[in-house]
Amino acid sequence: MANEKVPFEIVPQVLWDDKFHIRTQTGDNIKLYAYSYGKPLENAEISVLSEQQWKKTMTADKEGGVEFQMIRDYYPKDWARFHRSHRSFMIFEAEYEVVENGEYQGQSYNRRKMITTMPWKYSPAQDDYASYSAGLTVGAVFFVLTIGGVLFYRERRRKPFLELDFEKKPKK
Amino acid sequence: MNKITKFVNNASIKRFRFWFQIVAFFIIIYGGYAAIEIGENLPTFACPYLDKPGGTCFLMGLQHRFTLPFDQFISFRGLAIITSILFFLAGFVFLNKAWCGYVCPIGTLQDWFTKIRQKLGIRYSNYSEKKFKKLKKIKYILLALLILIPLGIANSIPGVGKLSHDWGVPFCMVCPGRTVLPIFNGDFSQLTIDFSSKTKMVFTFLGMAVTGMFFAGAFYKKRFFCFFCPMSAFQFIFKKLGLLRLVKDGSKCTKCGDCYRACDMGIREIADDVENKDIVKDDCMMCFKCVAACPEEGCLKVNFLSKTIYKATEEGFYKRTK
Repeated sequence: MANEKVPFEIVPQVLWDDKFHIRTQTGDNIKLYAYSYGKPLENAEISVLSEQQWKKTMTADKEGGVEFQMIRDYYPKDWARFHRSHRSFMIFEAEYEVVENGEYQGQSYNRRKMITTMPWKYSPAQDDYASYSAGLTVGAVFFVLTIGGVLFYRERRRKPFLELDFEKKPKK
Repeated sequence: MNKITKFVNNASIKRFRFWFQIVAFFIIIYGGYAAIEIGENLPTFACPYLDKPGGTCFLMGLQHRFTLPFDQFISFRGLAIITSILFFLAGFVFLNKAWCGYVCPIGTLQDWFTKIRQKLGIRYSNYSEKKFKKLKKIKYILLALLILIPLGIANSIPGVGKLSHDWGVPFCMVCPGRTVLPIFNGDFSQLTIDFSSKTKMVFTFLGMAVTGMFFAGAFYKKRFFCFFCPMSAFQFIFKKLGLLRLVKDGSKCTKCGDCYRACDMGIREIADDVENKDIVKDDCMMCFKCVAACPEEGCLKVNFLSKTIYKATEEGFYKRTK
């Protein structure tokens, strides 16, 4: 929620309202809003800067918001070094210019530029390290093995048909 | 009053349980959407992997809390273990092991699978007494592991060191609740193998293997997974605190075996034991099908706070078996 006492702030979409164990992942669509004293700032410039210096600048819409997709910025040298809980960092930066006359420390000015930043962290996407096909294959194999095992067990326990001939000597 | 008692004793526990389970299932799976939050230490598989569950399973919290260095046991973190057990007991005492028979969504699912199996005409199996005794130990082994493994994460094991955090919540990783229940939220993300580390890979492999066996097992054994459930083992430790009791008057028992045949878990003692009054065994889920199947007047009773709320009656038996 935007704060009415703060001159300029970035407010990310409140993800925690959706789920308790929420975390931002690569590939997620993130919405950021720029507010000044609780009011949305149309045309505010909002930039996102990753650890690898990838940068994107967007202009806020009427609601003061921009939307972007979290990029993949984590490429370990080999798979053994991959950590699902790795946190990549990002900086959100918003800029806004107000045209107004005023005086600050004895000097007059005719416009005021406001900048605010916000750090953010995010994890690798589950799709990077988890496989549905492998999971479903394992599940299906064990399903079939269990069914097969039970049928085999039941079949083995079934006594074969035995015709009794009392005149015949039993086999040794 | 007599009319009410008669109505209850003649009622179909099967139908009552069927509807109770449906309501409980929806509360556990979708309760969060209706702002229902029963508690965080529920004695049932209210899986936290669900989107908005109506409560949370005690075992997940227990595993988290036991990720604790030995020197912090006498601290607020150690106190958290005790308070969580107290909250667990606060819920547990009301239903005792009936949490398994009436509330557990994994149990309910298995009961629904049993209905499908019956419709398909597939016959079910029962374990021999020897196998039964062997298999029932598995749940205690799982209970021990789900406490010992988290301890191994926070404390150094001689020769091994500390286990990585990938060992965290070990039972949840193999629990079918994690893989199956989120499907009811349209979330299939748990049906995967996690290749991010060897430990995760092994755990998710086991999880999917158990899931495969869970679906297959439900079609040949009633309540297949419940034999291996550590929650059942943990509940059994505190069963004497339960306000809801299943009691038997051995002097009225003719050992006809109807109760044993009705028992989904195949507990022999329910028919054989004429000595003990309290006949709730560790595998019992207190479904009370045995009470409904008993033809002997007052032989099996369901008591709440020592007051009989449901009991076996001859009239009820004939009404139900008509």
